Amino acid sequence: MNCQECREQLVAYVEGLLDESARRDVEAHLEACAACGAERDAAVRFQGRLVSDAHALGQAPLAEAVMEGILREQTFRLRRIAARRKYLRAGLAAAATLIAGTVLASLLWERDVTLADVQEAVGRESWIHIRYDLDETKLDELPTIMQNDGIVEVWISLRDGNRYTHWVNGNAEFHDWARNISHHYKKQYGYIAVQWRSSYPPGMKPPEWKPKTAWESAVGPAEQQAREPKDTKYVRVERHDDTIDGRNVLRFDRFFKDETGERLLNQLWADPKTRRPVRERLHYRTSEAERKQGKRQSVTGVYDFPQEGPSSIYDLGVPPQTKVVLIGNDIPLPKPDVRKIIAAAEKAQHDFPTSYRAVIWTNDADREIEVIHRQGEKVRRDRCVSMGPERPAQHLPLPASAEQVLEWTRKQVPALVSLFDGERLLERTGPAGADAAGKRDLPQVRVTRMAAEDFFASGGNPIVLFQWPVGPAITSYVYEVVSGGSETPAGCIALRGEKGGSRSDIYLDPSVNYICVRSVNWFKPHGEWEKTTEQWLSRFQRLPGGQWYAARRLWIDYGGPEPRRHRSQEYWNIDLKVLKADEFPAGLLDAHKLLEGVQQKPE
Amino acid sequence: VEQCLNGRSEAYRHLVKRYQRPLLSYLTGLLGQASEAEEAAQDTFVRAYSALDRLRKPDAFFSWLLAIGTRVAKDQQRAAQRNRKIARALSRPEAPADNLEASPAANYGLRRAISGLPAVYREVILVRYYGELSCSEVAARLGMPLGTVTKRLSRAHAMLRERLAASNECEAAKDCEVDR
Repeated sequence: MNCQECREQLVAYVEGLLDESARRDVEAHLEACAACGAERDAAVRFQGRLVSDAHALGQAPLAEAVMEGILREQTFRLRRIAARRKYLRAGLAAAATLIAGTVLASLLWERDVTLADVQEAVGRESWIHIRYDLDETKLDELPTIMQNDGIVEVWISLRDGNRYTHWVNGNAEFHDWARNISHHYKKQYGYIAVQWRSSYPPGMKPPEWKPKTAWESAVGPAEQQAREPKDTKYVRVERHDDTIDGRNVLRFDRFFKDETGERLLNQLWADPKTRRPVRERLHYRTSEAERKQGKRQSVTGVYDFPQEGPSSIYDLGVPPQTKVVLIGNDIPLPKPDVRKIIAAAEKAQHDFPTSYRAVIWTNDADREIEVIHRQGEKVRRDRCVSMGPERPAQHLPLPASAEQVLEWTRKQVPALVSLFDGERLLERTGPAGADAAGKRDLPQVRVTRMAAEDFFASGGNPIVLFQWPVGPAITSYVYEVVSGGSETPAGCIALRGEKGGSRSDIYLDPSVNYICVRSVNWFKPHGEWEKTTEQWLSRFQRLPGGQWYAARRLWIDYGGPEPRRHRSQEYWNIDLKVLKADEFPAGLLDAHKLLEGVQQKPE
Repeated sequence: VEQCLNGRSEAYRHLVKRYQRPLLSYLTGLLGQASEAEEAAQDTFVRAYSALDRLRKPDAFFSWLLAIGTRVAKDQQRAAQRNRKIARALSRPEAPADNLEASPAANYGLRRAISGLPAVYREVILVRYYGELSCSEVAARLGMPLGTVTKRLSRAHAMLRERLAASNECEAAKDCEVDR
């Protein structure tokens, strides 16, 4: 290994990410080369500097400001739309009864249009259907962007404004204009999410849909923009004469910039004689490499105008059994019965696997690391403390994967082992640190008899407790459903329990087995409610049996009652693996083994 | 990102929380002052939200966000320059207009050096340290092999230390030695 190779591996080495042989190679080089050794030390120090700078940045309360900004922006847009409509209404009021006449007049502008054409255009158009030349079976031929974003077909109802979109990857979407909701189907998730208020935010009702002709709906905006450029998605629209199959048509080249500033082009062809759009070409942003490989850069869609269109999202190839999941935005869900919710959470608790291994650690080197093995009523918890960088020989390089954490704990003597064998709780501490003469005390074990239900209710099963802090066995709060509000995470049911001067708010998410996504504890020292602690669970993972668990836990301590300490927050990583009986390490759950060679403390 | 595209606008709040630190660090490096960076970050997130349905690859959310951030910062700098010109024009010629400007943010040197890195290195440094993600998480988030992430980080470390040494920044901070 030369210096260059060694230096490229330094971060992987320092973070313990190299395999055994690569690690040995780097170590051998570091021992032999003083310059690279110094480079490693500098890398470690510099890493510390980056971490402390990131901490110094803190968590500015940006999210609230951003959400407010988004709402303001949406309101501003809506006002603009409303003002435009008002202007339009005023203009049309003078000729309210002549709308058909206006259409007629604009049609007659093109000389060889007959009244029959007009009647056909106005009276018989029900749907616009655009079919693009993408083949679902030949995804490999497309650049990545089209595999994700390529549209296969679009349906627009001219009578009610409803719209269906179908993508090449199987995803589909339905927007219901009047009800202001949308259905989103993502193939990889396998469910349909319903979003309320899809086009208009709270407090705004969509205006009544005015039936349009295909020309008004698809070509009108391009014509308008070519004549009088306004601040819309398209920065410039050019109108050109063109021909398709010998027919004279109009071509609108619509240029727009995406958010990175790149200029893109959408083209639209329309036949002024039939007053109908004919085809559309969407140009995609592709990479240089993809262009060299000859991958597609655009798709072409052909318009047709069927009388009947889809009646639901299932008509776009979404499997008929697909479940609909309600996602409420900020709309309070109908108040369900508390008992049913708690029962659902308790059922999820009950259905959670009872044989597993869980590894819990933080990305903070000085924190406790815990490994839990549970087999039915037997639970063993091994707790180790990762020593800080001042003791590099025992230091666990963090962040680390669950396997790395486990490997590290195997080499440690746990500071505390507790084992519940169904009847007794054995807690082994030590061995204590060596005394001046270098002698170590024997480890000590305290044995307590207790019933299984007491053990589990008193926190013996932390994973389940984090996820479902509900039910009379665990909490004495009597909960009530409270209305959503901004504190409620999306899609969650908010429950509140109060007793004396304390309060508990929990937010359960029905889409992940009623897991408590967020919980907040409050107290009232001076007539005002103040937060004491808060927990957030995230990164939900699915176990082979279908149950969900949270792989990340954020714990915020606001400091206890008087005097208020400084607020602290910690992230915990949780890795859970369901184990079969023969996968538990031999003797791990054996109480007799734990008692070997130790002093027993009185019960 | 997937959830936001699926219509969970509340999920966006989490996205903001997840990426605000890397973005703030980057914008501080570009703009110099914490308050300006915060304003630009806010604007960036709002712009990104309106354009979320045009994000083609959810995996590329962070690099896309940085691209928007760059534009916002440039717009902001242009506006500030315009304002300064107006202020100068209105005041007496000898009035030092720059007196009004705040002092640079703490650790500005480090963040400026990060912002000045080539995009591929900048991205991994920001996501790994300011986003508080492990190397494997960075690899998954940015859709690249773990080995690429660690190599880029190693190179980025070396580049940053060299740049800081060149600007005497390390000497002042004393916690970043380049033993050569």
